Amino acid sequence: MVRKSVKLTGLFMAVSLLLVAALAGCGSQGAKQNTSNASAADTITIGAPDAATGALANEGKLVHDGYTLWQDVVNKQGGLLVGGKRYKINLVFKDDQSKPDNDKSLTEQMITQDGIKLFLSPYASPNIFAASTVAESHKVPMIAAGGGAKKIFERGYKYIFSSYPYSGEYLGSVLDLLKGRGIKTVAFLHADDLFSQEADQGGEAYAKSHGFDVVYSAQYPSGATDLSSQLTQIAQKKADALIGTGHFEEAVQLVKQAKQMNVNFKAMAFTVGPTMPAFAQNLGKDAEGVLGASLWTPDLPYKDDVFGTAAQYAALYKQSFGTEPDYHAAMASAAAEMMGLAIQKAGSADPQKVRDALAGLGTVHLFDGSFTIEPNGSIKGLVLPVIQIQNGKAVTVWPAPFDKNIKDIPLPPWSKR
Amino acid sequence: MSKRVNYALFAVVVLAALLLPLTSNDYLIQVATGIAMYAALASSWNLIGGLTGYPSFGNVAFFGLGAVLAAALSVNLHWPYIDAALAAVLGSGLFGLVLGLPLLRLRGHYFSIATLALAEATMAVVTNVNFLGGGQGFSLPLLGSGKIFYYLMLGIAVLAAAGTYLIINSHFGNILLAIKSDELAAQSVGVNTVLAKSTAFALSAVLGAMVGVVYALWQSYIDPPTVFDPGITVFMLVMTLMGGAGTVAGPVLGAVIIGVLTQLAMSFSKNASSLLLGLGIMAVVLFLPRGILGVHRPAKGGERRGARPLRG
Repeated sequence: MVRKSVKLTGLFMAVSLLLVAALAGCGSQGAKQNTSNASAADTITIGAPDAATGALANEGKLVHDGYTLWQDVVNKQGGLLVGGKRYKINLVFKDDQSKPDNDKSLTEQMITQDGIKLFLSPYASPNIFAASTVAESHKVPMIAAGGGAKKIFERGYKYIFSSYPYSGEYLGSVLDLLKGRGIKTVAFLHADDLFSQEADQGGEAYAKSHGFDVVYSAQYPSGATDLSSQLTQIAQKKADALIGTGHFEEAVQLVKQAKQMNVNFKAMAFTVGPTMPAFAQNLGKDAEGVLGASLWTPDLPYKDDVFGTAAQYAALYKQSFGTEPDYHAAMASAAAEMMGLAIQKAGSADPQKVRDALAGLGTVHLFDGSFTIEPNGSIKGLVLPVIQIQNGKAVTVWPAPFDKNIKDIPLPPWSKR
Repeated sequence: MSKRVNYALFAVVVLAALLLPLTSNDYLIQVATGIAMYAALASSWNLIGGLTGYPSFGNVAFFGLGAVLAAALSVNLHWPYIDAALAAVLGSGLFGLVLGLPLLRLRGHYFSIATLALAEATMAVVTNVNFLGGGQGFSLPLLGSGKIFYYLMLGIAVLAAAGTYLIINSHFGNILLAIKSDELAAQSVGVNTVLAKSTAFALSAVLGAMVGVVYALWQSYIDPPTVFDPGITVFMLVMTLMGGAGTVAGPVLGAVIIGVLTQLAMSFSKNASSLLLGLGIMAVVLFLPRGILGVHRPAKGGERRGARPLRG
């Protein structure tokens, strides 16, 4: 019995050694592959952990496609012009299964095994937190597209940048729009995740400082399937407008239950939901008039040299992927474009030079708008649009001059629809 | 003599693990840190699930609570991290002891479901208490070298394995084995089973929380869905069962195999890694129901029911 256990410990060690050897072998293989890529000398490789599977796979695909479109368009133009020479762009994606701890190990793997020194971020703030700590410790720049949590930029990191405004700024445009429509009292209802909390806190602070009366504010657990008790309380407060900050399912749920319970609002707005085509499909005519905070629409009057106008960007995207782009894709393309600009400005793909170039980009004008890169890596000045569901379609109704498109605010009561 | 050989092998394994950072790169250290972490977590699960025979589905609660408490105390109250870590580990141990008293009155599926609920409830409370970071979580300062975390996780794993060895070879271990084999009989000969089970649960909680406090600093950002992910409990359980529940080396072996396979699967096939892992787990359940070490040796504290048919 004891001898057996000795044998087993031996077996255990042999198996472990074998597995470690296999792992090391696999790693060095990856490294070899990539040095051959890098030695092609006219290619710039950029890594991106992405959510190809798991809970964030939908948004992950949009981000993936947004990055890919930039790569394809730049390569079709002959490559990125750096110091008089054109370089092909090679994006390397690795599936993080939507889990932040995978982002940490994948980023580490891409830096140390594959020798990748420039990064675009995975989707969602928690994943960006995880991936950016690795990028920071190896001093390689990462541009985030898919998370505007302020906390990401409050850590004093030097190598993280973003194409997104802070989550807390998402609701500013919606509130500006409501102000012009005579809305005075607002009810805020938000989910308990990082993004929803920051967006809600920013929205409430903006509302209070802009003369709104916040009559109700509450948090509910993410994925809640019944929000009727909250709606009952909101109805008692007689709020003019409901502002929901949560997820797609919860936004749909709130509209359905408001109708069932005959709770009427002059306006309903959500951070997540209305911008997605499934929102209007799911709710039918009940979705009419609902407002959605967005970060980008194809109607916006901006343009740049890579994609052309916002509308041309949308056409290119549809040609490549068969669907209309939403803001996740557009913001991802903008992040990739920022990387291109920084490489051009640095005149090299050296991570430290690109990082310094990013920090010194100042104000840039892209197809998604004009904005300024802040010292902490976040951006400022992007004008956020608002959309409204009209005849089942998302129509841009903010900023001016799109406000002439606003319809039915105040909304008719449910009984008159 | 052969006990000495066993010690020697243990020393060689630990020495090899200690020397690993000298020869390998950051990525391999990162993977090794993850494996050491899961070896420690699986060993902690083994104390309650393997030795005592109470299959907990909620051990991630202790891991998460350790991480969150340490972060909360260091960020909100500006405690030095080491103090915060100690308080978090003690707090989580106490939490395990106190909750063990009612929970361990349940058995089998009822216990499993109650512990699953415990983990979910803990996450819900943390998500709604601002002091504990709420839904936003905590950012902790970034510490330099990944090697520190490797050694810390390795240290906890060694502590967990050595602790398991000592328990198995102690009077306390015999009590746990008695509870696992026939709790009623143990009670009837005067064993205080409630105290013994709760102690095992609390020890499991302490180890889980130790891993949690190191994890928080290692990741430098934690939020409730990540540190209370039920998948972490599943990993602890699957690794222990794969290696051999109730053995000292089983959870470690399981953690090494699954940890390495996960990384290999992820680098070879982007989309099929979960599928491959799932197939592997199914194969183990079907062909090695007692785990790899359990096949050869009904270890002390291992499953004994197989002997029953012989007795008629």
